[in-house]
Amino acid sequence: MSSVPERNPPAADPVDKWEVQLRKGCLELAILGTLWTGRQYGLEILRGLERDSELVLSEGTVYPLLARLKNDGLLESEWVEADAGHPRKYYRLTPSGRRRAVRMARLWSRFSASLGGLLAPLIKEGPRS
Amino acid sequence: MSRPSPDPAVERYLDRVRASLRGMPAPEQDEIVLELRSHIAERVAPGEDIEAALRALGDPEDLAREYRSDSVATRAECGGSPIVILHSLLLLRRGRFKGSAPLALAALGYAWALALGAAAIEKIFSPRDVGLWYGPGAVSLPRLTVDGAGPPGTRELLGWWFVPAGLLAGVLLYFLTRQFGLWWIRRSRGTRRI
Repeated sequence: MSSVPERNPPAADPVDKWEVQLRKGCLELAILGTLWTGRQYGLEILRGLERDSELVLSEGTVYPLLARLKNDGLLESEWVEADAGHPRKYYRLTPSGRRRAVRMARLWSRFSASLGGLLAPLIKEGPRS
Repeated sequence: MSRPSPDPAVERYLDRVRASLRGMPAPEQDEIVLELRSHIAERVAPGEDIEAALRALGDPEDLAREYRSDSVATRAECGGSPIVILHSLLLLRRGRFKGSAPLALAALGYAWALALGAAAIEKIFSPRDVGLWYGPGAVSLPRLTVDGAGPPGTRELLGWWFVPAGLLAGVLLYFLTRQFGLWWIRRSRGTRRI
């Protein structure tokens, strides 16, 4: 069992604030990306995000976001009676969700590549701290 | 693992979530609570602290507000009627005061839009009682007078043009208020915590 992620402390540093905004902006794409290979339920998505991305998020954030993505028609859900003894709500991408995920992923890839190139000298030559 | 006996801490937490989901359709509320219940049951390993799982979910009122702001934002964007927008702004208030200013501003905007429209129509039926007067004191806003004349020492502006001008101003104010309300609702939706 992984440790309990604590809620982020209030971000006073402008860079911390910027990081929070950046993560917030990427969370939607990260969820769509997590569901690319097939259906998953909430906690599975959460664990996947914790494992594969640095998007440390409070567990309470992912469920309302899933609800919004479903309302927007990007996800669909179904309840499945699990062996665990309680039903699980599984989410999967709708065709429109798949299209959106591809568009966002391409945009992200282009964006991060160009910004990465621009910032490479800074990262190499900048002060260590 | 199955949990046949409901844990009082979990029930208290879910009760608080549900209480804060008021205003949302009942089936949506049921589904949210069911999903959270399933999450908690799955999240808590045998012998592990339930409180830790609840802490990780965050404050129940905050969590409910995340759901509510998305739900009301979607409804407001679909409908956009004054009642839906004002109701959404009411639900998006944080505490008693925070977020009350946009609600008051929108209510005022709609009230003025209605008043301007109503005054323009009233002008058709009582042309001498309704209008815009200008005098040495100040510009008088649309007003009804008992004796059928404007305030003493003033002259009426616009005349019959008050009808289209009032209607236009009312419609314009209505749409401005609507845009403001939707902007605020979207803004609240965008400021969700991480």
